[in-house]
Amino acid sequence: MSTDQHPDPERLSDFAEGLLPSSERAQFEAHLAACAACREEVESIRGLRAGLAALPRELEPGADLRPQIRREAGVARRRARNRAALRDLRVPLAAAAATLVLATAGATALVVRTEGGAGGRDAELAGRIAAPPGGPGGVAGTAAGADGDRMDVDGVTLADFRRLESDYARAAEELLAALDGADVSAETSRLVRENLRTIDRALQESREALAREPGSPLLRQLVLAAHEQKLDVLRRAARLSARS
Amino acid sequence: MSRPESDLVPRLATPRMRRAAAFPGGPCAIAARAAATLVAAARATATLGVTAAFAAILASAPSAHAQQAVERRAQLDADGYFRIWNPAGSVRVSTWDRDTVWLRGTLDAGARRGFYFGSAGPAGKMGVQTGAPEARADFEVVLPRNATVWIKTTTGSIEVEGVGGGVDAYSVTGEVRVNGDPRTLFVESMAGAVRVVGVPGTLRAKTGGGAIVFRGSSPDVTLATVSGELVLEGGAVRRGILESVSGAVRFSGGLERGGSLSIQTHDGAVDLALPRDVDADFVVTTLDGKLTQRLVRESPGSVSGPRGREQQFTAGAGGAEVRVRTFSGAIVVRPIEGVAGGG
Repeated sequence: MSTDQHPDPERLSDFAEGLLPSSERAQFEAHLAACAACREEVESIRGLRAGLAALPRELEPGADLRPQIRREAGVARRRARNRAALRDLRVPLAAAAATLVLATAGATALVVRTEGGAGGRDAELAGRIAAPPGGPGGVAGTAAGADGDRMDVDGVTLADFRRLESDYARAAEELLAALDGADVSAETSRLVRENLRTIDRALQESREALAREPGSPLLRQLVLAAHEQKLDVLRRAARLSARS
Repeated sequence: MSRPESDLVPRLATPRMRRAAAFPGGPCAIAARAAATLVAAARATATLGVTAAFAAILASAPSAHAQQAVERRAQLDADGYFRIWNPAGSVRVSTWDRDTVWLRGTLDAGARRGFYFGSAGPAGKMGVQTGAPEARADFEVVLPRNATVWIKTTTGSIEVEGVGGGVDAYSVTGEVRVNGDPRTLFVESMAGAVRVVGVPGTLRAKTGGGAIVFRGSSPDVTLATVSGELVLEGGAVRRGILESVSGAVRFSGGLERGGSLSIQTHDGAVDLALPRDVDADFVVTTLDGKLTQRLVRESPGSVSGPRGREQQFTAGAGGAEVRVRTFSGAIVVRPIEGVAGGG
């Protein structure tokens, strides 16, 4: 192998993972000594693998962890999982970046508590929650940050909930678009959409009920759980569709 | 060319025989030696093991006449990592007590062009890398007992037995079956069912429409599905999470002292059966489902309010935390007999 002839990416990956036989390894090492681009690629692969290996596998921090810790953990995990899914699908970097920005706010899902009652402002909040994220009058269409946004439930704000729903919806849309653009079999695509229909139905029922009872921790939990399940299905589809 | 008797072990037809042979000091050692001897004696004509195993593989292939048999072996560390990628076709993995990975399989013409296999030291991989998704291959792989294996198929089934390291198994429509006690077990299938029997250190199983059935125990279990049924039966869990959208959830097992169990579903029915002597605090909530509690005699009754119908009660001395939530799925909490509740 000459220094100006870059190895096949698959073989480079094998080298980085220590899968090449010793006979080929020597050739690769010689090439890497003279090729900064390939050295960088190998380091990138190794760094990625190490990073992935160190990542938690699930979005389920222990119940005893405080909300702030859970929020931080959620940010890192959601970022990594969406990044991995998008990388599998080889979507443009811009799309990945957009999704990652969206996903960072998703961690507030974990802040939702199971206890607490509805405050007097619930009724006026109901209409805003009822509309779909991003729609006219919907939770994504209202101003954020005002004191009036605070729900009387253990400090969980409507702004948090609103941002979270919006982020979930956009992240799901981007992953779905990426999946559509990828080389996914018709069967996989059909299965994904079938699953999404089931989740969307549940989501719609929960959102309608939440509009009637905006202070219900159970309903907020079910809404956010449905969003998370939707993203999870899309991420799994991305992983399963990758060619290796 | 003569072959050591131990080399014949993977040629034995059934996982049970291989497992027995791999434990020379175990209770099945006599049977294992007898089986190996039988194979060695029969090899001169046509070994029964080879015949049976190849017959099974050929029978599962859609066009046997186009198949080509393949056999490979290579070194893999006892706790090595091995990746298997087979887009179309089945994968069966079993283990032995040798630092060798051994493969036997069949490939059709399309799969032959993309077939690869390699292993040395801490890692190895094999599979079919081809642009033709219909290229079919069926693999039977024997790995060192403590190896970690990563397997992915699109349509084919995955069967893993006896792997002691980690198992990652992914399929789009294929069924995944795992028997044994891997340290970690991660399984995903979009449409196929997942069936696990054993005592994995950590279990994460997810499906879209396929059922997930886990018979055994594990300190850390998460089962999630969209519309498949979730079934957990067996010993105690320390931390259990079962989630579905529309799939029914059945839990029948123990909960370790101080452990936690969370069940959440939108409209799937929940049947939660725990030992009568379990020590746990319960919060059971449903917005619109029927709630039936038969585990403790003095039920506090349901409290209705903005959060739906909710029951909070304690069984035994309490301590473990049990939460069940549904939107409209019916919930039954009831006792089972014969399973220890405390850890």
